[in-house]
Amino acid sequence: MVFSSVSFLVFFLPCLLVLYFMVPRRYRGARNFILLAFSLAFYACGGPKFLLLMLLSIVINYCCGLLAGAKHRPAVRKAGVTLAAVLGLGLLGWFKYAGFFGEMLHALMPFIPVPQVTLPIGISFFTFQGLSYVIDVLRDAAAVQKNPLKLALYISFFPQLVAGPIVRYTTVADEIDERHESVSEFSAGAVRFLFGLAKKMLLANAVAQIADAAFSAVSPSVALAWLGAVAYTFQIYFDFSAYSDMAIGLGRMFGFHFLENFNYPYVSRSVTEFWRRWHISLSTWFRDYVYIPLGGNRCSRARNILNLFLVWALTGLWHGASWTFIAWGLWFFVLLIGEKFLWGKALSRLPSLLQHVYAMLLVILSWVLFRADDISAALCYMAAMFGRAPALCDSRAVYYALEFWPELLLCCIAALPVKNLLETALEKRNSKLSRGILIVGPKLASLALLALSYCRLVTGSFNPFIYFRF
Amino acid sequence: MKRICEWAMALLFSGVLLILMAATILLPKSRYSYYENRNLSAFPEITAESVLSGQVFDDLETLFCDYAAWRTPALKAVTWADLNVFRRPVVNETVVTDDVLLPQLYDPAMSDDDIRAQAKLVAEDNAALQKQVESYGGHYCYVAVPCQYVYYEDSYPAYLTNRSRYTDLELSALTEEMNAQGVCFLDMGPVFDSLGHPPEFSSRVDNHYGLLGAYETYRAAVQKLNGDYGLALSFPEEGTDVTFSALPNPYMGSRTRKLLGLRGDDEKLLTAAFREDIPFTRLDNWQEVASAVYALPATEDEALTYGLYMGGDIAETCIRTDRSSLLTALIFGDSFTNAVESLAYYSFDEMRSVDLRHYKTQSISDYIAAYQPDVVICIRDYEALLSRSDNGGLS
Repeated sequence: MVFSSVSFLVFFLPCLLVLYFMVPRRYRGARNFILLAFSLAFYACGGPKFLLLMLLSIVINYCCGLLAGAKHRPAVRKAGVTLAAVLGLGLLGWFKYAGFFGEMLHALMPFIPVPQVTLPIGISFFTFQGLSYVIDVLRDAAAVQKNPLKLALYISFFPQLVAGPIVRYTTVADEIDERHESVSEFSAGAVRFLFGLAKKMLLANAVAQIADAAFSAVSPSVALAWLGAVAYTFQIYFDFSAYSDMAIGLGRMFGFHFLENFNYPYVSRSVTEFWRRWHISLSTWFRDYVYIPLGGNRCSRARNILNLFLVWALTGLWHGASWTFIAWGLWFFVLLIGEKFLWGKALSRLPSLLQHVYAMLLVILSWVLFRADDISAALCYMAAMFGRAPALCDSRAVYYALEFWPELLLCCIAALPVKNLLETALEKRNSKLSRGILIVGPKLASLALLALSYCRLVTGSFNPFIYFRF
Repeated sequence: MKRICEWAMALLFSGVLLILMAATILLPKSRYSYYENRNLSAFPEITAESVLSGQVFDDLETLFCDYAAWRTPALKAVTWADLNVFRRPVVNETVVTDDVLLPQLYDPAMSDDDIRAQAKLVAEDNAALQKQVESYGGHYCYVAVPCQYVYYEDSYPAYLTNRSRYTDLELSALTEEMNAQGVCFLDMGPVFDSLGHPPEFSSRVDNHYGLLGAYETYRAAVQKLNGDYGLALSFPEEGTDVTFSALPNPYMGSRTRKLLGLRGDDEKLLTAAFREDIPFTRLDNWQEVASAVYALPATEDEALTYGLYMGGDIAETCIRTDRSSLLTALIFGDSFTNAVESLAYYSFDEMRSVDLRHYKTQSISDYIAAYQPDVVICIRDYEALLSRSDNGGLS
């Protein structure tokens, strides 16, 4: 099930809201149980057979968390973490990477069959969440959760279950036991959810049609290749950040506070800055659980480079079992190393506009790598972008520009922190009207967006979330 | 004020979702979506396999989407905005121009050699059928008619394909093969051009020709059969034998329909009235029905579709005029036969029609072998010329 579906919006969510808020706040356990039951049902809608896999993951992390608890000897605690890592990553490895590595082995030794494994939705996300819990217990950053239902709720909580953000146990541990649902929080969460829904339904799905056409074109013109690359750049941002917005909004409606996952990444002036603003929960996860344990930057330059190489190769691989994703990760490794050790200072002395152009050009090219079916397709596509194409512009580029100009224009505006600028301007005015607009404006806008999103939702079937693959 | 707004937001959000849920469940529903011209999805079959794979949940989502509350107003709102606010060149797969509504086209994934090879197969099919018809003394004619996107191919914006290259190659290959195989072949494109390519021959808002286009097709087919086979088929001349009049009703062409009736023009459908009264009995799939060739609406406000002619697509129709001095005929093809049929019974003692898409009882070849009509006319539009599916393989 996806948030931008009639099943979720018209049936699942209202039923959950009614049941959840019918239970008095003092019965926290009952409210948590309702959330857990709905979360499991939410996941089961994607294929009930994988529900068992998620339950197994919960059991592994629960047991390993108990072993990693402070009352055990250090060796036992480490064994708990090791077991969680081996089992959790083992399941992830089998379900996500068996086919990929199997194909490589099959190419070398044709008598070895390629395993046909279906990727369970959200396995990368719930594996990382479970693992972070056990590691945090070992580090004494979190207390052992003895109630398996509460741990199950943390891992399976539906807003962030299938496409993130990757929520740390420490972020929500207290809120599982004691949180304060309020009209104010609910209202703010609903507004956030509806803005996310609109980003997905009105922007991401529309520009996806341009990207799909451009990337499947046999010989795109230069203009079509660029249009497609830019469209995909917008699509992936508005698709993924929309999901995060909806997750954060839903969490807030039920009294949970997830950390932000995006911070206007396309205003970045360097690739380093881009990664401080893009998929923050993933980059901080790798920083805290891989990069720093490897030694981070408190080591020799060579070791630091090796650490970064490992982190970015793994980041690429996390996104998918394909050479394009590994190449995508290593592309950022090279750029980040370059900015850190080679051209970072020179870059910072350039005019701001040039810095933006530099960052966006490299980010757009990275998305070409990310989107293409394989490396050679990505290189062909990039070649078309830089002139190796049958024409500078063709009729398809004109058509897509004319057909989707409203969405492209809106994407340009919505990718910039216009909302923040407006809020700041209104706050500065500090008049009765500006205060009124600040209070009423977002709510009215979100309700209008709900109407528009519903119209698009019931009239279209083009609706997949990109990050469901991961 | 902040507190009131928060309460209002919380209540409105929850209330809207609850109302949508209740309305989706409770509002009366129709299985058929008129504007989309399709049956909406049925409740999915629930099996252990479909549940375990999650397929049933995907099917349910399709069902919920189809039956979501106020879906048609939502469709209209989106279409209206696309037409009037964003002024998109293509809305609901319809190319919107000032004068005409056209289908959005994609170039078929066929190489030139594929097209020629397919044209050869189609010509061979028709040659075999003609041979079969002629073997018992019958007469065969294959008529190719331009569909709307071909008739108005110059109206497409330059940045959208009008499939003209494919159409030209398809026609030249088929004409060459039909001539090589000796098939009695009539291409209405050049005929329409010779008459000045008047806009009233093809609908501006529908895939089909207008009744005047069908009338000229009927005339050309009769002339071809009379000329090639020395027949003496009668034909109703306009003004003396037949008069055309426009119905006042709005015309909901297939493109207008795709745009939910939000864009169209004042195009009207015509009916023909023969000066001579020709009583007939009509059987649809061998059930006797009213003796009419026009499905006339109850009121003048009711929108008409191309289904006006012969009441739409019917697998098999038989019209008996009980004039034994005249010949019998079989007209087959797809919906392009309908408008011709509403006129052509004038020339025959008995006229049957078979819709290749709906008639599944036997092949056309077997049908002809059993019926042995004097005249067999196949009518295919340019889009379907190379199609051999849906009984189009003929034998």
